[in-house]
Amino acid sequence: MTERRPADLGVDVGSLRLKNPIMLASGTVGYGEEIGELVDLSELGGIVVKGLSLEPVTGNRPQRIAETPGGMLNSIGLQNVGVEAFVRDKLPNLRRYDTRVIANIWGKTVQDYAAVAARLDQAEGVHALELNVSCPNIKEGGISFGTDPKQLHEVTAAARAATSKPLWVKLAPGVTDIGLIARAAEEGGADALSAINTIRGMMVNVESRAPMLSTVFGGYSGPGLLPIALYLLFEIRKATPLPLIGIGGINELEHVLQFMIVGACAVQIGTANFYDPTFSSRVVDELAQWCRNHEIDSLAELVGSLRLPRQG
Amino acid sequence: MFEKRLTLDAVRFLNSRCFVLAFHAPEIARAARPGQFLMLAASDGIEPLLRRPMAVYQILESSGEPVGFSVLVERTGKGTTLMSKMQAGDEVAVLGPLGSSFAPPGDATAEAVLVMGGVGAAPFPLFARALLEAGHTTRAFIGGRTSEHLLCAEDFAALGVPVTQATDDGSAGHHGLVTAALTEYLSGCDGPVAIYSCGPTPMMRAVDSIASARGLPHQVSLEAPMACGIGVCLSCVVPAVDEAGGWRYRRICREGPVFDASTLLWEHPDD
Repeated sequence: MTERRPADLGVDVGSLRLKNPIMLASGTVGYGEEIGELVDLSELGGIVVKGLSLEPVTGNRPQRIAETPGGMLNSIGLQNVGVEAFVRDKLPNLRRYDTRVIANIWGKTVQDYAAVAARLDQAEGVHALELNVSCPNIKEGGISFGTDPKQLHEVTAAARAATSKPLWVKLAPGVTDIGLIARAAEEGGADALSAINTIRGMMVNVESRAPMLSTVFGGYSGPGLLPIALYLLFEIRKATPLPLIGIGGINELEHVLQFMIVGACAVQIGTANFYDPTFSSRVVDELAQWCRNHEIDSLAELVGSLRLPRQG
Repeated sequence: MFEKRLTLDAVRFLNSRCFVLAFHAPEIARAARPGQFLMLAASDGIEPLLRRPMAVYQILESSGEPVGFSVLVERTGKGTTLMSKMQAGDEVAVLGPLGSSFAPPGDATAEAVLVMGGVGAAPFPLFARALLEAGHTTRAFIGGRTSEHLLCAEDFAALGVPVTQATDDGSAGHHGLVTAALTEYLSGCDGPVAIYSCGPTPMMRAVDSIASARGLPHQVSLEAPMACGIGVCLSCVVPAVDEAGGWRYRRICREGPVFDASTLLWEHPDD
């Protein structure tokens, strides 16, 4: 009796090969230090580190989270150590792992993004950059980069010019036409798109009648995001041929498969890292088993294999 | 830290709202230090989504070896209500032990004074045991809204630790705040004293005023809503002084839950 060889879970996000499609999402695993005590990061396709800015950021005052039906709100305020401290203090530890390290970056101006991207272009052990475009552009009246095609194009092009590393753009969901936004990122020079970031939400304490978050509203994440993220990924798939990375509500193998069938070549696990911190490594094993059971030799067979119902 | 699915060994109700969940878990029991905590899932599903932080209450022993631990829970919301319905034999996802622990007084001759309010008493019986083993005279001040909110008095009695109780409504012990009883006691002390507190923020803050007015060391155990318990979500932060003379946020789950109170900023520096 011959044993089937282990399924090859390798996937290509453009020019970047991942050993499997399971990554950890930015903002849910810091810089890999703490989660590395629970999960062998070398078993994963990649880790996307907490969003980095040019200077360290203190973040918002508490209260920063609120539990909600089907998820949670956060308003951390982009607290991070800054790009220099990341390269000096955090990156050496990440280089120990046989995995892909993706640096999520953000700024308040186009120039900020370009400067952080340029700094990381020189950093050994950073395999790709992911732009967080959900932050306000302070020079353009505080409108989020990710909601305006022109600004998104500009910030993507500026980062593109500053690095030769693969450039991913993480799209924000609160827009009228996500396809338009996706094309702006593509035309700006993105190599891949990740979707989605959190959705704005709020919760109220009925006793104090105050918002539960100090900043009134925050980013909604967790299981409730799944159908919204799948649908937006479907719309993005129609708009652009770029490689896509699915994010939103994943806490079962089934969810990973759904994202891939809709068109994602890889996924990121986010909020599940908080309430089920070893899920990411378990789901890699489950995915391998699923591929063996379904006689799938390459995950490329699965990506974008959605069968649409006949219309009319 | 260990991430485990544990079988619940026993559930014991202390009163209508407070209960103890006991688990067999030798690795966690060996690793846990007084003041540390664990993240416990309240259900197997996603409602509620996040695990709940719970202080280590007891280390359970068999033939002198640590074999398990318990947590003391007060039913206050959705998660703890589900936990109150757990039964022996149920499986519970547990992550821990987590965070910092209480340190015995630096002065070997110091008396340790433990001040607690409500379910904030949970970490102290275990710490009292360690203090006694280290030779520190130990005393407990327990406060609560009513007699129903006074917890752990029997644990201290079993250790031979003197207890002073106070209730807001006078239904047990002193009628009034536990901090009033603390002040009265400290007025009569002339030896070295180290203070430890855990409970509602106004209580801990009042204890800190009392301790700092007398120049007494004070360790405090904080609690805050948190998603992960391991330091990655950055939600449970508290402002604290930094080495450069400014301030920065510290994570209650990682640098805490036990802090040297003199490093904390009770008023937010932006106010």
